[in-house]
Amino acid sequence: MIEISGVSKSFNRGEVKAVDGLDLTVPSGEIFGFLGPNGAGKTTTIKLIVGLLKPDKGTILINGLDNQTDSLKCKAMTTYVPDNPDVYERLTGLEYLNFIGDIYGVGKSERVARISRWLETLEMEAAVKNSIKSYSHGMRQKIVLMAAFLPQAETIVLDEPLVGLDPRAAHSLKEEMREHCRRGGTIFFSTHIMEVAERLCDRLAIIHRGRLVACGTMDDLKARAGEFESLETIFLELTET
Amino acid sequence: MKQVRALLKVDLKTAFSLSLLWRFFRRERKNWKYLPLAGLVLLALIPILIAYLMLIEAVFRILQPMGQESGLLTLAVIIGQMLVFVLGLIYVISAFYFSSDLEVLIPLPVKPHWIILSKFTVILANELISIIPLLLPPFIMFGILSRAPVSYWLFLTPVMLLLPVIPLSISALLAMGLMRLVNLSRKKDLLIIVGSLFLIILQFFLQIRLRGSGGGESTAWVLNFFNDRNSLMNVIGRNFPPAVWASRALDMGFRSSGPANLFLLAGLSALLFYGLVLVSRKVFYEGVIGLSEVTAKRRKIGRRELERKALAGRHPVRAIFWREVRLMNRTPMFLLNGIVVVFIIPAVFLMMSLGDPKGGLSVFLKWITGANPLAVVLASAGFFLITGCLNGTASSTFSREGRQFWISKVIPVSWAGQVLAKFFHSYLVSLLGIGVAGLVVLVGVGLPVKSVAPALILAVAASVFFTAVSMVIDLNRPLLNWTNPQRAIKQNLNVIVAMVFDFGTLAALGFLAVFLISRKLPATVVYLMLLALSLAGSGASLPFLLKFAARKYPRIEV
Repeated sequence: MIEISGVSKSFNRGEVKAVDGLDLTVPSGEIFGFLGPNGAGKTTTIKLIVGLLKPDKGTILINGLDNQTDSLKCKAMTTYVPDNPDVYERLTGLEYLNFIGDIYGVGKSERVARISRWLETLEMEAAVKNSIKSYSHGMRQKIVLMAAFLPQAETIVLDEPLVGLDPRAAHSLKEEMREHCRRGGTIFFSTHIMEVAERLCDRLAIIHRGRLVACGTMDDLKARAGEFESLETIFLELTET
Repeated sequence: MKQVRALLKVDLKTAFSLSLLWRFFRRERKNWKYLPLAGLVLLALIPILIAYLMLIEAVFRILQPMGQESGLLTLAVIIGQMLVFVLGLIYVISAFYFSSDLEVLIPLPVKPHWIILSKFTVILANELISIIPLLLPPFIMFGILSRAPVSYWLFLTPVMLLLPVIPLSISALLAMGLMRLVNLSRKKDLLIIVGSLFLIILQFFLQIRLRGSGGGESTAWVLNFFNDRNSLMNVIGRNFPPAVWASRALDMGFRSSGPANLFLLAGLSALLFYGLVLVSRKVFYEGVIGLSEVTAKRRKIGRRELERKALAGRHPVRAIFWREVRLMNRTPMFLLNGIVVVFIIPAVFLMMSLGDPKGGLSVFLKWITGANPLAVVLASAGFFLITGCLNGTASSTFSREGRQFWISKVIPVSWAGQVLAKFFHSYLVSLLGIGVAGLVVLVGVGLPVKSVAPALILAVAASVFFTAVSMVIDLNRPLLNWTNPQRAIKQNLNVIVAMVFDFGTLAALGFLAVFLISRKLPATVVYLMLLALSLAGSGASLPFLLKFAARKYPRIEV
């Protein structure tokens, strides 16, 4: 569960307000889609949730714990996929997964079972022993995704997770996201693909210029928007400059 | 030419982070607090500078009665040019072939030699900045002590500017040849490391072997030596004439062959530079295109193999330690600039002592051993610490993570745990350096165990302090936005600040030891006092590092 209360974050000594008084709650068992135009504050919000940035104001709770004061416990319950799969390219895929497994304390049998299943799902069996340096962008994205799902942390935060994935891998990822929430976990992800957000998410939020302009289920958004039918038209209407 | 200027402008801005530095002080008033820190660093340089100036004056006073004082100039030039060559080789490989901006530049309508011109100029500027503190003191001291004419001071600037061009051009030509070969191979990283090492060691070997060759024993030669003002200059520089040309240009000024020597120096520099441009047209793109390609056999992993390789149960600190080891050892630029240095310094020392068994180093060491047994212990400990701690491993440990620092920020391992793992890695590299240097002094130079053992104990104790302080310096402002791995370790200001601090501390400890010895304290007492001081420093620095990490880590935003 993620609870964001009154969170603000600005850069350049307050000149650029990236996130402005954000309030948001994502309960456990929910896939939450976070939408917004480029530069709206999506990545900043995500970085604030996982502790890469420190909020100027407000609090972020992960399962009731403050991610600033109880950061270690929060991190143990959260994994993250960044918008750019920058990982240690001098390690092999398997070495990276082992590293993440060690850090999160994943036991041998679970580790073998999960890695094995993910390798098959994302068709990475032939590449996992090679150096990440030799991977394509999509393969790097797959290894980062595998690492995020390996510990089975309660909360998984993903920034544009579908970018670079082939259609089969994208399909498998969506299935896994659904499965994770069925087990009671929380998924918070940002995307620009409206169709995916519409079909996959239990609830959605749209952020524009650092402020939340809409939040709710797809039906809530449609009811609020009135004549607009698709998420795309709602999005365009709400984020018009 | 317009394009070269544009490229150069961007390269200079990136290399020296000029715009960032401007913003750092101009826009962020709170950063003015770093100015006193910079003052402190400069203050740490004063004891080193005093010791250096004293050494230069002593050498001058020894050479002057023999009329060989101009040898001082050649010696300085040779040391400076050798440094440019050795440092330049790795630097050139990194800047020419491993900058991430190449991916942007190559698809542009840019000629290969434009890129080379721009990058070469940036390296040249960097090399000048590196050798000026080393060469300017002997040049200025020589000018003052010999009451040099105006022409000496007039020639100083062009000579200084020309000095790095020849060795750097040779380095660049060798690097382009090496990288052309590397690109043909499948094991590119390995070949880069082995090739660079080979070229560096070959250079040292030739330098030392050639220096040792040539007659100098006959009476006539000795008489001639003292009759000719330039004898020592010629002996030192006989295998590298540009060094002699530079010294003569300075020494003679407008008199006799002074201008001709300056012309020779400038001419060869221009010729080699032009050769570099010509060669780069032919081979640069062939060396760089496809370098980042990794040819990997794709073989499926089976369930049994996965069970064998999916290691579990490692403590997070151990996992981070192994991550550090792997990333350092598998990145050629990190390995060459960090760990390999701990082998190169003792190797050069060994070659110097083996190449000259009867004189020089061995005689000097035996002389100081006989004069004061404690001096050799302390000098050895200093040598061990320089080898073990001044390699940039600890002072770039956070910076080396670069854009992957986000992983350290999100993993559920305490800051103290992460820093401890990094400390173990850096300390291990220090111990490796101390061990190798110890072995060289013990076996290669033949110092007795009774001198080497206490020196080793002192160095092992003090290196905790040097490692921890270097890590504090890097953690204070880690350089994470680098595009070229060389920048993380070689062009990282943190590494330079840590080196200045280490040298300053070692010089201060040296002065303290001299003071204690001059008070007629027994050798054992002086040694125990220095050991106690090292242990106290180490004992305090590690907890300070962990405390500092807990405060600093959360503030680093990525």
